[in-house]
Amino acid sequence: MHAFSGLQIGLSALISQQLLQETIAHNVANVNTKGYSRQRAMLVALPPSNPYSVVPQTGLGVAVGEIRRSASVLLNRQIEREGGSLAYWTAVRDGMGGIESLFLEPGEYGLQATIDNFWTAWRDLSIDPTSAAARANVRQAGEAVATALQRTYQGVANTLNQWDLELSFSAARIGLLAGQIAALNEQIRKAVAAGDPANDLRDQRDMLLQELSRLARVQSGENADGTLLVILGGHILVGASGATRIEVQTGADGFKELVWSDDGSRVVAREGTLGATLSLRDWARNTVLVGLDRLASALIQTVNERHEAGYTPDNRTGISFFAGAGAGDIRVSDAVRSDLGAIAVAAGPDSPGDGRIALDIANLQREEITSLGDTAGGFYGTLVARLGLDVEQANNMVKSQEALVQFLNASRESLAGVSLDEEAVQMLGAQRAYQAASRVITAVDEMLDRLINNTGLVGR
Amino acid sequence: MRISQRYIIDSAVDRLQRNQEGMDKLRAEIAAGRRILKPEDDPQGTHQALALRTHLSAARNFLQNVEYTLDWLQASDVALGSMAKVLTEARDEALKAANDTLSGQIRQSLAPVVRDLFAQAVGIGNTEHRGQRIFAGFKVQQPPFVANMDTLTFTYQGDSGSISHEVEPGSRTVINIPGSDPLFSTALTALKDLYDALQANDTAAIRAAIAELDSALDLTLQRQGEVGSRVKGVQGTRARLQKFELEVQSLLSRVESADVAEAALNLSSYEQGYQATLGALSRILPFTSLFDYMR
Repeated sequence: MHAFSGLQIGLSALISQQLLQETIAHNVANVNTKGYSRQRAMLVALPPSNPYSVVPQTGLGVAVGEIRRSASVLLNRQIEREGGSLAYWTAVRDGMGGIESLFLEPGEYGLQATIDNFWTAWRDLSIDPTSAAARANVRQAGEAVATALQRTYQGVANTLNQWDLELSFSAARIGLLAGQIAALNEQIRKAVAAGDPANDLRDQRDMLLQELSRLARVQSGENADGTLLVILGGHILVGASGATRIEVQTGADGFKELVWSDDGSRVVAREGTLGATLSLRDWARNTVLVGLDRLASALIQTVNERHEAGYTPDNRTGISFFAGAGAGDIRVSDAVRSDLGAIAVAAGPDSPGDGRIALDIANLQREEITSLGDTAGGFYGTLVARLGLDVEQANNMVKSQEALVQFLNASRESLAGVSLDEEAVQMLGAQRAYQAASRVITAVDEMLDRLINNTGLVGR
Repeated sequence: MRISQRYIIDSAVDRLQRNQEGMDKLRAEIAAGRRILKPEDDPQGTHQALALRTHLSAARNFLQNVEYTLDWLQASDVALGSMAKVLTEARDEALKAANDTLSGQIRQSLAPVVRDLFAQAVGIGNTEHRGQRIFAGFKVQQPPFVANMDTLTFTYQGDSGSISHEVEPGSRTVINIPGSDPLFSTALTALKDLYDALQANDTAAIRAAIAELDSALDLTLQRQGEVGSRVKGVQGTRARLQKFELEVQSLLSRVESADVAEAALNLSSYEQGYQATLGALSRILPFTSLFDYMR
């Protein structure tokens, strides 16, 4: 313990309180920064220099032990996971909602009304088989059904292609984020090795991880050297050697698929917008397009079967009314399109007044079609209701996920966010401590002044 | 709970958003007058609404078509009435001619009248309604009866096709009497026989013709009665269809239509919530904090 140690203690206080103040300034500056975790300079008392001394000793003052970041890894992981789930359901809801709106149901312009009009036109023709207007009406209603089916089918197919395209964007985005995380890993590793906790870099990395989680669910864990290991679908995305690239290939079914560049295995993405795109794609193909196709081919088959059994006014028979195989290419047959006289209405030859075939076709409206297990209208109604249910479910999931994510974010903000009142109080404390330390230095100085300048005057 | 500045902003934005969302949906509902704007709003209801719309479209179609069916039946009714009149007239002439005191010359002079009546009867057989021959079976586009006015013979070119209209789901009504029905051959043959008998001045044959005319008249009235009862039946169907249409309509509106009063009420409650949130925010958002009170 020497004469100037009082000054040293004062200095350590000045330096520490200043650092405390700067941390507060940093917090206040980041009050609106998204994902910022408040930091606090943790002060530690410095022990005496010689603990074995027989003379009683004071400590050596104060120092900043570390600048601690108020972040809960657990909470952050939860936000990532639930945020990814929210992104998934939001994308699913929006995607399905877009498909749903293509159907224009329930309303006067939907497929249901168009198909009903078609049956109505046939019924009209059945009671007035010689009317050219009724024939024209049947053809027109048939074309409307074909157009509506094709338009809906095309709309879904276009959206499907759009989703397929989005896969490459998602892959590119994941690649970009993984690259950024890998770069931050490197910076953090160096900082940690040099003894810096790299708080702000960690915040940034957490934000990137959150964004990545919104694309697809990832698992992550921090290594001892501060680097983060990120795993996507059981495959390392960001590891010790940096980020693994994801490549886009065209699969056997003509749709894109994502594979890992290192071993060529398929990327298994769940949750997040990428997971949503993959499920939406399957959903649109297996539920919507298949449903429309079944409906269209059932209509083509049953209407044609009955129409082919009928006779035209000029005694032709075996003419198809519809052509095509499914919802993508259903159309009124060329024979009927070019000649209204090709519409077969009578059950036998030479019977212009006979409308039984037209009635048979009109009655398909309420007959169960074997391949559909329901009437055409019933099958379509179920398809539309199914769409509605899927969107409703996604909607509910979005709402509950939103509530959950909001709660988690609130918890995170509560834990890690900056409160100006709190900072103000901390600042006052730091300010006062700084002032007091200055006063201590002045006092010690005065004591030394007395010792150096005003004692031992006898020698002058 | 520790409240941070970002928490205040985030939750304020979230609350405003939620109010806006609710208001937007209700506004759309009120504007469209419909509760179900998209299937997701009520999948079960959508399913019902779609089925009801199909029922409604079919009911309206049947209602429209029932008028056409009635028209056709009424045309038949009128034609059969004319036929009865022709036969009655012929019978009157025949009764006159059967009087033994009449001279052969006068009897012969009645023949052209009967010839005219024969022509009328053939005309009735060829009755056209909206461009269709109603007594031709399925061959509605050409006159079914072709007569030789010298010999008063005829051939029937139609067929025995029985045209039926579906007047309501699953129920068909036959609306025509094909020319092959014995009514026509009996009537025309009776007229021809009367004509021949008058020409031949044969009172016995005239009496025989009267008997034939009687049975033709019976047949005609019988058919007319049948047509009449079909008209009654179809009119009953029409009343049923009208009632059905109304029922479906009201069911559909119950499923689909918005309760505008309720929606407006909800809207105003959302608006109040929104206003209140805005009011609260305007007081918090300048961010009064301890800093404002420090010198």
